[in-house]
Amino acid sequence: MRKTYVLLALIAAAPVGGLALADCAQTGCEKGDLNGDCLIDLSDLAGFLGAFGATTGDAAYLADADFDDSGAIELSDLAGALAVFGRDCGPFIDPNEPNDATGTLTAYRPQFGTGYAPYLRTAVADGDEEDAERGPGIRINNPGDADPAGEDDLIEVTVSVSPPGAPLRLRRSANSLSVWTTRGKTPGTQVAFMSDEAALPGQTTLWVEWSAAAHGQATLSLGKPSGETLDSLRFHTFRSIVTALGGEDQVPTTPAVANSGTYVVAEALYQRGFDVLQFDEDNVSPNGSGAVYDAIVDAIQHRQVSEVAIYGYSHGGGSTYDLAERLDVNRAGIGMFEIRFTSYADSVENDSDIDVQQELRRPLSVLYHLNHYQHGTLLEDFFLDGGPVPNSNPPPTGLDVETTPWGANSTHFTVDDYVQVRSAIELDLGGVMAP
Amino acid sequence: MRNLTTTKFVAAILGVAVLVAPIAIAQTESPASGSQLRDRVSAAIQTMGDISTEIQAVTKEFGADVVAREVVFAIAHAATERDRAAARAAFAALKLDARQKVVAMIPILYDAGDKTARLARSIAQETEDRSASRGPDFTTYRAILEDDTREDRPLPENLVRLMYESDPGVALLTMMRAHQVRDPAELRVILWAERAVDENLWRWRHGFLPNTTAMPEAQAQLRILADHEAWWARYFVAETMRQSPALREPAVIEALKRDDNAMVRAAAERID
Repeated sequence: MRKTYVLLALIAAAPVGGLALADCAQTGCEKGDLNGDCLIDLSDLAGFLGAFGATTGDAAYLADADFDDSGAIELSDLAGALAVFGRDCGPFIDPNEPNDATGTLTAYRPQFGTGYAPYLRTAVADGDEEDAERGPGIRINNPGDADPAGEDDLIEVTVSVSPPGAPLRLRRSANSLSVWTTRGKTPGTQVAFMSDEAALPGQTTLWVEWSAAAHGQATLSLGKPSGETLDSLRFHTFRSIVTALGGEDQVPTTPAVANSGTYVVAEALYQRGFDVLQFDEDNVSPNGSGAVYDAIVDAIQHRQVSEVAIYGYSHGGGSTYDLAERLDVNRAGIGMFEIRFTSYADSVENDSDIDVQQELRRPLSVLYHLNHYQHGTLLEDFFLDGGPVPNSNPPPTGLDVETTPWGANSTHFTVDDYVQVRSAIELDLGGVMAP
Repeated sequence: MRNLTTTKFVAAILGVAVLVAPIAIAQTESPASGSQLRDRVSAAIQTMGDISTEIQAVTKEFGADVVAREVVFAIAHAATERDRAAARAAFAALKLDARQKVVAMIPILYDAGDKTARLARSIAQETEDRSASRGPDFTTYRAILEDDTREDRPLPENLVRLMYESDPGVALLTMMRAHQVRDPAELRVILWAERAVDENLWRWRHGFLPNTTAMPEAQAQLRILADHEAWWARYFVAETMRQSPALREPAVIEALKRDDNAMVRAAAERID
């Protein structure tokens, strides 16, 4: 009893401190924390004393002091106040200006079907996040797009916030960006933007969709309620698609093996922001039909892709020709597009799996063609080789790598793996088309 | 049998690599830049009397068909790119013409392991000279089928299936001709049906018609051929409906699944 008098005396002497504009966001301080600073201390008890005896409707009534929700602040509530006295519910963050909060967004390169294979999950480098070409690319996600295995046109974005739970905001520069908390766009999991701003959801992984039918760029930002931006991602829609075709019996792997130069180049292009499909060349039939053709047509018809690149090694080069020919012949049924880039690495016609004819035809209707070849010998590679192709780069017919110091000892089995060949494909492709 | 044959062929393939070394050196010293690979391989092999003799000896003992299939098996299961290239060179050394290649592949077009069967189909289809700019050329297939038809022998089911899967329309016309149909009225029934369906496919291909929409005339002609007395005409209906979902009619498919001809039934069963 004596202690109670002492406490009340202290309470009377304590500054009330004013009421918070908002409640503490942490759990455990729902009642008793009258000033909302996430700490139940003497100032709160002073507030309690000020409200003591008040009932619902009185100006002095405070719901957070009415522990039993009886509508009156009385002795039974004092017991509740004493029970939580001293409680620390965690750091206080002023929702109007959480100056101590920080956060980052990380975007990843696009997925294929059920996941990232044949690529590793690849984050867009911090320095590229707002670059118009090397930044996060995103596919237009129109209805009818033939996603091979579920929804694969959403871009994964991870969110890192410190301290956890800080009430940061998401902002977007255009409503063409939709944000979901599930990859499969489960109903009820779309983030609701008001005037292109939304509270940051509790999930640490978000999925970003380009839901407009037209191309464009848009920024997704993480920021404080005051408007200060902490991190931004600049998304650009993919206007192009790149197709990489390996040689006979080369198949895409995760990661690419070193002696499959075609797929190594694909990884490099993927990392720098292109939408790159990797295929076994057997997915292209001699008349160009098959899964690769279907994938390119789907991109043109449903994702507004208008620029195509195809490159291949050995039989993959022969398939590059076949694929380009079919795309050209069937233009009227496909839509508007250009094949801006093709490349052969020791290209061999692919009329069958045992075809050994050099592929010497320049792909039809292609703006820029790159060609590398070597000379086969019986002992080294059973005469397997490509050859000069008219109107190719380097002019006039491509590069005979055996005329270079680095490629003098090349064989059909190694020509696609030279860094000089791989770099030429990557740089020349990047020189004639953007992601 | 396979082990014995394979062993001999591995020996032959290895022999190629060993015995032609002098030729390879000569080629390296004076590369024939720009010439066609096949011509160079052919020229090289022609100068290798010992290897030709060895291959011919094995062929004489086991038969060209068997030897070709063994080489295909070796190509399909080669452990390295280099081994595969060597086996391909051995296949070239067999010097099979188009018909011999197809005949050799028929037994394994669908009935071998996946890799071997796929390779066998690829070799047979090379004779079709396919491209996006033109239809397949079934001249080689027709010669084989026509001979069997004239001799009243059962047709090789694998080859029929391959041809129809490759291009049902061209296959239909090939079968019509291989079966020596002479009555112009009968010919026109087939020709008109093929034309109607091809018109539908053409409109899909070039964007004149959504590929989910079928032309009534094409569907009508398919119904007519589904009741045609020739099994190879009914086969066309089954394979067309398998390849083009928009042209399917459940009642027709069910009827084809109960067809008198086993090949037609099997084709209908392959429809999803």
